[in-house]
Amino acid sequence: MSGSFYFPIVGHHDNPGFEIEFLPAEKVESKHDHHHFNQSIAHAALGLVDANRWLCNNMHLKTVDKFNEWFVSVLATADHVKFITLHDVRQDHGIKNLFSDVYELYIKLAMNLFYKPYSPIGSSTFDIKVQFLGKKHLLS
Amino acid sequence: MEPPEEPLRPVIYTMENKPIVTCAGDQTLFASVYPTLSQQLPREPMEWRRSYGRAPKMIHLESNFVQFKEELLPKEGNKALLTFPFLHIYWTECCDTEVYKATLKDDITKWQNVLKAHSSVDWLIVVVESDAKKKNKTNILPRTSIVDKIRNDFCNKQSDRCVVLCDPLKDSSRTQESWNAFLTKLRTLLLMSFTKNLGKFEDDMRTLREKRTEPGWSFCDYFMVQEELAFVFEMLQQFEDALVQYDELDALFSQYVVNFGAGDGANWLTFFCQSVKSWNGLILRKPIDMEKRELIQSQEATLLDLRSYLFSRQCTLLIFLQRPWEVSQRALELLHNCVQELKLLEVSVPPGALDCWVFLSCLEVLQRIEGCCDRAQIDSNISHTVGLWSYATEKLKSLGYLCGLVSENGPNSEDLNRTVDLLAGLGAERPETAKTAQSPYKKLKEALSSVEAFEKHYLDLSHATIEMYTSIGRIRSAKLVGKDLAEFYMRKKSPQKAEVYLQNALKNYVAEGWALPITHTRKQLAECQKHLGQIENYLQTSSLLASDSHLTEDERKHFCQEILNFANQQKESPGLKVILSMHSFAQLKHLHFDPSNALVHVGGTLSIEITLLSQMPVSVQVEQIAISVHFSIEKNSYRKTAEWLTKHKTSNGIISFPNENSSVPFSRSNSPALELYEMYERSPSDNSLNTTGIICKNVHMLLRRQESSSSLEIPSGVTLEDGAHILKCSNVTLDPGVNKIIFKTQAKEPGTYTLRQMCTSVGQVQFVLPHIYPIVQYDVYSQDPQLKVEPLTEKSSEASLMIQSSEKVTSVSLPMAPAYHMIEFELEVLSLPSAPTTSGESDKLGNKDPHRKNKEKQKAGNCMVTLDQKVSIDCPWSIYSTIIALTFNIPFKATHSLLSAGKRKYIQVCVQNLSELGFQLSDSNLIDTGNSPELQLVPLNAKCQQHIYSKQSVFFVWELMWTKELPPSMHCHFSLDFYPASEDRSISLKPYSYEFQVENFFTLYNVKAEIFPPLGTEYCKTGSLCSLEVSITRLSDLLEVDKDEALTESDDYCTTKLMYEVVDNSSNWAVCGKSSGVISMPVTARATHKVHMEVMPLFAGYLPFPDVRLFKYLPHHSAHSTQLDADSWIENDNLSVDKNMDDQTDNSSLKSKSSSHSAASMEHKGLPMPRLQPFPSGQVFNSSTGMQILVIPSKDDHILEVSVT
Repeated sequence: MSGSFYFPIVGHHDNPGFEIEFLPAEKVESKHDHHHFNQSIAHAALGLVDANRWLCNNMHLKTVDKFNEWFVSVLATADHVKFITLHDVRQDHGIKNLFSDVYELYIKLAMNLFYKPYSPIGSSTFDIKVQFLGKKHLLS
Repeated sequence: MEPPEEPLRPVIYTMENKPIVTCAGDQTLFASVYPTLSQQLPREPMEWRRSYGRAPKMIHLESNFVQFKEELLPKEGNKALLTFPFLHIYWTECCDTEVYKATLKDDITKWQNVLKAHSSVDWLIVVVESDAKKKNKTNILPRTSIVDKIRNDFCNKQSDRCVVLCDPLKDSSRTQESWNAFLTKLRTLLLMSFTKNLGKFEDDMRTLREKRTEPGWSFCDYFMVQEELAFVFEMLQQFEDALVQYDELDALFSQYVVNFGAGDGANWLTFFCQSVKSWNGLILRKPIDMEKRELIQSQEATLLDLRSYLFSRQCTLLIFLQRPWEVSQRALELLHNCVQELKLLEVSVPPGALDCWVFLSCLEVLQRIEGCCDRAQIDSNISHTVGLWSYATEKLKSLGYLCGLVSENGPNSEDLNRTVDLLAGLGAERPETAKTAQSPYKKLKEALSSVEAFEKHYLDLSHATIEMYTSIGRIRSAKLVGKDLAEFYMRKKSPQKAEVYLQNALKNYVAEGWALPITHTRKQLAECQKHLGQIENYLQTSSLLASDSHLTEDERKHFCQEILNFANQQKESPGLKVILSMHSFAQLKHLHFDPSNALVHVGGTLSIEITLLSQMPVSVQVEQIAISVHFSIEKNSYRKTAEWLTKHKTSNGIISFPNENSSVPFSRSNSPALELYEMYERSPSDNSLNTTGIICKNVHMLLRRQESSSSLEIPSGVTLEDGAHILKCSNVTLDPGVNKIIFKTQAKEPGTYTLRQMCTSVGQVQFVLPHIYPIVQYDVYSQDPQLKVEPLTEKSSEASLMIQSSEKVTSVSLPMAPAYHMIEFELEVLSLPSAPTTSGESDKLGNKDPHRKNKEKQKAGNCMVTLDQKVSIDCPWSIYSTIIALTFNIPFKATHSLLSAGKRKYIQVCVQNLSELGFQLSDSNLIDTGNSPELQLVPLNAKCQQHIYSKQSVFFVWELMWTKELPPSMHCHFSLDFYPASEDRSISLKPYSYEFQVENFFTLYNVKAEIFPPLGTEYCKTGSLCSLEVSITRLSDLLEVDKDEALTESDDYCTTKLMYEVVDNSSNWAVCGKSSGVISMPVTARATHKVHMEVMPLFAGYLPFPDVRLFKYLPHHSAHSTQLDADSWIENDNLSVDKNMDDQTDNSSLKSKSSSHSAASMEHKGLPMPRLQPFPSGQVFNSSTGMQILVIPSKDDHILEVSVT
């Protein structure tokens, strides 16, 4: 059984910059209401991310928060960009790989002069690539 | 084999358990030693070296000494460790060989055989020696002591298995020593036994674990085995090791569940998949929950039982280890895990059961922690416990919703049934907590008992959680709990309580730009405001929601309709106006001015086209769109000038407005940027780097509370300005998306108009854009006529103007012209220099009243004469004059001279071109302005045009002819046409004119000098005296000019006194004797006076004649006498008087020289002296001027003696 994943990237100013959902093939598009709930949980977890990131030498903070059936795993970059994954099954390895791959993608994106740091990411290429990585690491 | 359980079934009191040591032999002896032994044994720690590379540990040993029984020895295959005797001791105080041989040896042998039968090798024989007994048996030799015998008999190569304890009950140093040796031995052996037996146990355990893939392997069995090991470690106070055992079990189980989820199910696991029937939560108050342990042992435990038991053990150990915060952390993880695992294993759980279990467990953990920590510790570790609080709140909430305790009407029968079922699953309260008032069990039961109780508990929990989150700075989590609370209040119909939580949460979401939570919270808020009857706020929120793209079309239409309904409803009964912020309704995108420079003159028409992006999902009929305009009389009148107009034709008049409400408002981005500085601290002694770091200099700015920022939601402060100037546009339909609206206005008062606010009225609802930013302005100007004078560059079109001109003033009447039109005309200005300033200007189109003031500045030298002129123009509408400075350059300079040839006279005019240009000259003309008919000027010039090059001169000569007597003076006017050589003749320039006066030009005297060689010689020779004959001939009779002081009249015979002087400035001649003299000259024609003189040539060659000068000799009685008499100045041989005049003799234009100059310096002598006056150049004609005479050198010129006086 593979779970559902919600993966937002939160900018330096705690603003959401990108979000994507990875759902197993058998699940249909998640309900709209559900979606806002994901955001709320991710948002609430930011406080813990701030607390945890100083306790850990690693960018990958592992699972920082739990909310009902949701786990919140986080990778926080040096400049406080947070990759968050909300997941309902434990899949630490996959998430870790996803984080490191997306981090590399993000760095490439951030090096683009036309990308204003921490602004919402509109690149469709980025979206497609993250989608691919999500499928590769989380849903397979 | 008979089951061994019956006698061996241990009663486990974990803390009381100690490793078992059996005692055989003399029980009374042991009893006497026991107190000391049990006291002394744990006193000293012992290093325990471990197998498998585990770190050695210092350990305090304790033992439970029991009487040896064969039953105590474990049978083969018995895994029980707690009851395992680790060491067997045989006690004896026998000192008699005989006794030893008789009984003791047999006894020990029997004991040993029993041990061997159970393959136990951990034994020790203690021989207690006492002096008292020894004294009685004096025949005993130390050599053959009992100890030696025992060692000999039993301790085959293991002599250390037999120890001697000397006088254990005495207080002597020997006793002490003996005790120490004994205890050390005992401890060593115990540890050896532990190492060996535990090692063996672990090996067995591992073997068992490796079999886990075999069918029939049971986790519960294995659990019991490994737990045994944990118990032993716990018994040995090695809690860390004990915990590791449980953690391993935990991990193993978790892995199985995960694998099960992945489809790799183990048979035994299906057992845990039985549906949950009891959910009474964790029990942490007992060290060991025997009930659950037995369930596991009997393989009847559910997943929750196993987890609960496992966690209770971990919790116990962690608390022993004084790590209560880890308990809370692990608890949270456990609770989430269990929920996940149940899902993963697809265990059927009655609704709410898990919520109960989690709730109870959370509270149990919290209470357990509170039980072992003080208040201060708890307060400083909120961050570890708040998760549990939050989880409990969450679960209680969902229980409340499930059981109908949140609804307005209270629970219905279905809800009640469900509640009863849930309570049933809790079972009876445990005896441990039965007496506790606040036990989790009681709390839950009470909370589910009634709506009121639930509310109380839920609010308590929620508030506590929010407070905790806030206190540790997890504001966002606090807001999330607050949002739940708000939802609860909404259900309870207390919107006024809900509002603040919703507002707070919303503020937080908006500040960080989380769109979906914003939308959701706004929806809640809208409902809340609707209930509260906050019409304005509700409508504002509705407008935000109607424009929210995250909502469905239907939802958006609903909220839009809400606004329209209100607007229409109010239309019928006009009441209060509701003013809302516009940005959610429609956004101002662009504004376009026509004319594009946003500048219009009074009375002109300005149109403004605005582009509004309507955010509403449906078309909205708008009654009026108004833009209020602030009018100010612009002080900077420059903005209003036509010049400004022409210079600012930029930007096509389109003003774009930024997105006011972009989806991500970087509210924090306007906080200042980090200001980081490097910091180095060097040691003062050797300047080596001590510390380095980074300092943030604006921490105080950055770490300010963000909370106090003003709310973005409350449309307070949106006020409608009342302005007199309003641009309006009525009855507009705003379609979703882009709309263009045109405002037209007629400019009235001049000034600057600033667009301030925009207001869209829909019924009684007004959407106001409080500030239009960037600033949009248009200007209305009214300009007085303006005059501008510019050098003419090209011919402008001509228009007929009325021109009136007087001598100094030219006035021009302008024709009627439409407003803000320009009239251009030319004004020709002619400067006539030197002449009495005539202001001749020919106006093609004259305009103003030019007054002019001339200021002539003549520069000396060969520069052109420049004339600075000013033309001042006055306009009737202005008190100021426009003054234009004009500079004229006169290209020519003219000089004249009078030339004589005997009595014939010529006038020469020299025209010098000072400019850089070449000119063509023509029509030179010289006229006598006196117009005397006797005079005639005969030109001797070429008639054709003449070219005058830059910096060159051209001469013109006229002969002066007369018929009658000449006038003493003559005024001449010279004129000359000219035009620049580079241009054609079309330029009509006034002729260049030059006026001058000639005086005393009639020749009175003819002076003729002749030099004769000495008599008898043909030529003059140097050094030889020659005679100079000067003849002065009067050429005319008495004339007017002669009438001066020198004239003496007697009858009709007149004489005048003249002084002659022979001067040779070139020092060619030496004048011998008197070189000057005064003669009396008759004033009649042809009167001649001859003077002879001796001169000596000083050089050979053609020598010019010496000058002969003639002066009027004025007698001393004249009013202006000079100090000099003839002799004195003759002696001086220095003609000083009026000498300066000589230079000017050519310049006969000057007036009479006679009177004006007398050197003031000479007058001080005051003596009546005769005075000399030179003749004007025209009056004396020197006919021998330029004559030369040949002088040949003398033969003996080498002896020439020259004396110069």
